[in-house]
Amino acid sequence: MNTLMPPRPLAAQLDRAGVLSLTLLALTLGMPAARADSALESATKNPSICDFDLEQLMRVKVISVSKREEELSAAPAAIYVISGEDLQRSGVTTLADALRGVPGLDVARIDAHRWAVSSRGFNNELASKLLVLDDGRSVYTPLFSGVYWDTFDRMFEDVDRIEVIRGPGATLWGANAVNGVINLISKSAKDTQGLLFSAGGGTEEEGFVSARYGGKIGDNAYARVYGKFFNRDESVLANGTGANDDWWMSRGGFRVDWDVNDTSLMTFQGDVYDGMEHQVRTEVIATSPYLVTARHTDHVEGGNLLARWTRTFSPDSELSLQTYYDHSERESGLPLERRDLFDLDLQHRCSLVPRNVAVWGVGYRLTADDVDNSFAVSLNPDRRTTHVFSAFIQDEIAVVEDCLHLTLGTKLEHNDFTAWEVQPGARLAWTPCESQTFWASISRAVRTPSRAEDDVRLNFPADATGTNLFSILGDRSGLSEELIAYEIGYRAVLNPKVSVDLALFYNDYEHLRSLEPVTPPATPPPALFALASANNLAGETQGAELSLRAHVVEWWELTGSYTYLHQSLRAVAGFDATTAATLEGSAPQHQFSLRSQMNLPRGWQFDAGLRYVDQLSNPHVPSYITFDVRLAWQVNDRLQISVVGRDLAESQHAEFGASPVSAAPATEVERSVYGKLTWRF
Amino acid sequence: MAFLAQFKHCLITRALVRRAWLAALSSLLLLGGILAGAQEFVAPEQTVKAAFLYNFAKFVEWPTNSFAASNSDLVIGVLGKDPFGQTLDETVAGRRVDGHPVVIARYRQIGEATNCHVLFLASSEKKNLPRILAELKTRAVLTVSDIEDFAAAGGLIQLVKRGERIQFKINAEAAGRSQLKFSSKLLRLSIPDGV
Repeated sequence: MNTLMPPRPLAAQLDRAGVLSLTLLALTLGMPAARADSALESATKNPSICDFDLEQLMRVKVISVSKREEELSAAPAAIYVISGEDLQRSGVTTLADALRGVPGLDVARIDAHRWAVSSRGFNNELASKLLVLDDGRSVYTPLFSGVYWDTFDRMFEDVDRIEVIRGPGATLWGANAVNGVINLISKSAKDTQGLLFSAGGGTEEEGFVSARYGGKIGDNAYARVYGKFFNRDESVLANGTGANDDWWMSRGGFRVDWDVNDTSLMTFQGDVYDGMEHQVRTEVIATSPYLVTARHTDHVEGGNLLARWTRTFSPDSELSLQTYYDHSERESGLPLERRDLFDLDLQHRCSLVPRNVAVWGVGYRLTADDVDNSFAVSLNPDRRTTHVFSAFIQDEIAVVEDCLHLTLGTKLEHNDFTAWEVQPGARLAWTPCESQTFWASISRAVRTPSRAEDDVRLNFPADATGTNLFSILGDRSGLSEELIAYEIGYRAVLNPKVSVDLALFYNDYEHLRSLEPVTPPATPPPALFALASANNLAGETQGAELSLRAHVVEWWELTGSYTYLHQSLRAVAGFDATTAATLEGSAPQHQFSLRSQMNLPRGWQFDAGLRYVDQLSNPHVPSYITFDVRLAWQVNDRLQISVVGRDLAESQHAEFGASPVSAAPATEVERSVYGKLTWRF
Repeated sequence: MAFLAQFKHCLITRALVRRAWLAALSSLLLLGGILAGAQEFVAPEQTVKAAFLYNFAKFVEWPTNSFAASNSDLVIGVLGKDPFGQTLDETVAGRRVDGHPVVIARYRQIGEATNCHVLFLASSEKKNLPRILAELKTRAVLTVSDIEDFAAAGGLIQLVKRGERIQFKINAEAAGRSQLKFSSKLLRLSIPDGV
C-alpha cells in the first residue's frame, strides 16, 4: 500500500495541470537572451557595499539571518516564514487571515469569527491535521482536533515571525502534526521596549485599540505588558443581508525575558482574553416546537501561563525545559466547554559523536474537560481527563560535511485513545552549492482520535419539523488516521535578493475518518437513523508548492506563491463514499498569490496583495480572485498613519460552504476599509 | 556564466523532474539574474558590520606613532569567536586608508592584540569586557563591538541594530579621553546619548 510513488507519474500528474509551468514560462516571455546573459554575469559579481559611505551603510537593510533561520534555510522540509514586518504590512487583522498566501495552506473564512484553515487539503472548520503553536504552547483543541482561530491572537507589533512547516512534523512535535505545523514566535521583551499605542476603525473593523509598554526590570531582565480590544462587524449572507455574527474580544498579557547568566535564559509569559461572539443557529430541542432558530450570544474566555528555561552548555549543547498551563471556557455548539491543559516538555540538543547532532526530549500533557450538554450536542461522559506521554529522538548525521545531511528520528507516544503510536521519519538534505538545497523525506504521522470522535452525540432534525431525529455518534473503538508522506524539495537563495522554494509531495492515507450508518442508539432520545464515526476512508493527495521572493530594487519586494493540490479519496470496499466526496471537494486545486511591498520616499509605504483561489466542489463555492492594498505614511519617528482596503474586487464573496450538518450558515466576506494610527514613544 | 553552469550542473544531475520543470526553473533563474542586476541595498548583517569596521577607520585619526611608516599596515583585529568569517577579509581586500593598507588579524586573547588599530570585540568576550577595556585604556585602539551596553561599559563604538538597519553609538566621554581623533561626521551620525 505505502509504496514510494515513482517520481515520473507525480511530475506527469502535475504537468497535467500544466499551470505551474505556464505561469513560470509566462514570467520570462519577452526577455531578450543577450540581456539575460549580461544580467547573469553581473549577478555573479558580488557588488561590494564597502564602497558605501557611512550614510549609505546606515540605510542598508540587513537581512537578519538568525541561527534559527540559517537552520531553516538548510532544513530538509517545506518551510515558509512570515516575518513580523510582512504580518504588519499585509493589512490583515487576524492571524488566520495572515496565513493566506502561504504556499500549501488553504484559508477560508466561514463566518465573522470562524475559519477553515488547513495544510495540504482536508479543509473544514474542524480541520484536524494541522498543529498550531503559540510560542510553543499548543492551541490545538483536543475536543475536535482543530483550532479555535477566534481566540488565537496577539499584538501584531510583538510578533517576531510565524513559521509554517508543511508536511508531517510528527517526529519532533508529535501526534496531530500530520499535514503541517504553524509556530508563532513573539519577540523577546528586550526587543519591545518603550510605549506603543495604536487605534483605528473602518467598515468591518468597527473599532480597535491596542497598547504595549516594555521596560527594563533588572540588570538583565526585560518585561512588557500589552492589551488590545476590537469590535468586528457582522458578515453577510449570500443575499446581502446581515448574518448577525458580530463579535468583540479583549485580551491582555505580559512577557518577561531574563538572562540569568551567560548561559541561562528564563522566559515567563501569559495572556488572558475575554470575548463575545454572536451566531444564528438552528438546533433541535426536546419539546415543541422542536426546531429553534435563534441568535446566540456566546461568551469565550481563557488564559495561559508559560515558563521556559534554556541553558546553553556549548554551541552544540542546549537544554530547555518548558511548562505551561492553559484554561479556556467557551459557549458555542456545546452550551459550555471548560478545559484545563497542563504541559511539560524537556528537550536536549547535544553532539556526542563527531558529525552527529542529536536532539531528544520527553513530554507530558494533561487535558481535563468539563462540559454542559444540550439536547442537540452532548458528550458522554461530560467530564474526561486524558494524558499523553511522549519521547522523541532525532539525529542529524553529516554524511558529507556541509554537503549531505541525513536526519533520522522517531517519536513514541502513549495516549488514552489508541495507546502507543510510533512516528518515525527520515530526511535527506543535499547542499551541492552553499546557496542551494535539495531535500527529500519519508515520514509517518498519525492523527489520534479527538474527544468528540470518541464521545459525542449530535442530534439533527430528520425532517422539516424536527419531530424526528437523526444522530451522529462518536465511537470509542476508533483508530488513529495514518499518513505516510513522501516529499521532495528544492530551495535556493540566488543572491541576497532572490530566493526560490519548491516542494512536491505525495501523501498516502489510511484509516481516515468516515461516518457509517448504524442502528440508532437505545439511549433516549429516539433517533430515526444514526451515523457513527469510523475509519473507513483511504486515499492519496499530491501537490506542488512554489514560492518566490525577490527584492526587485532596494525599495520594492515581490513575493509570489502557487499551490497545486489533488485529493483522491475513497471508501474502503463495502462502505459509504459520501464522506470521501465531501473531504475531496473541500480544498481548492489551484491557488495563486502575489504580494508587493514598496518603500517610497518621505516615509510612504505602498503594499498590495492579489490572490486567486480555485473553486470548491463539495459544497460548491465558486473560485474567486481578490486584492488588498495598504498605504502608510510614517509622519515622523513616532507616528504612522495607514489606510487598508481588503477584498476589494467584489462587494462580497463566498470562501467556504456550510456542511450539511452545520447548525450555523456559512456567510460571505465583504469588501472593507479601515484606517489606523500607530504611535511609538 | 559560471553561476549558471554551476546551477545547471546541480539540476541536470537530477533526472527527477521532467524537462518542462527544468525549463521553468531555469527561466526563474534568468528572471533572478535580471533582478540581480539591480543595485545592492540589502545585505547580510555581518557584511554590513564588516563594512562599518572599515568605514570607521576612515573617520578616525591615530597618533602618528601608531604607525611605523606612512605606508605601514592599518590592522583591524577581531578578538574572540570571529562572527565574520571570510566576509571581513573580502571587505578590506586591496583597500587602503590614508595610504595604509588594511589588514585583518584575529586574536584569541587580549594579550595577543598588541599591534592593532581597530579592535572588534566578539560577543564571546562579553564577560571579559571590563578587563579588556581596562587593558586598552591607555592605548590608541578604536574599540568596536555589538555587545549590548558596550559603549556604556567604556567601549568607544557600539554597533546597534535598530529595526532592520545597523546604527552606532559613540561613548563621547571615552572618545574624548582617548588618543584618537574622531571626525565630526562620525560623531554627528552616531545615535545621540540617552536614546
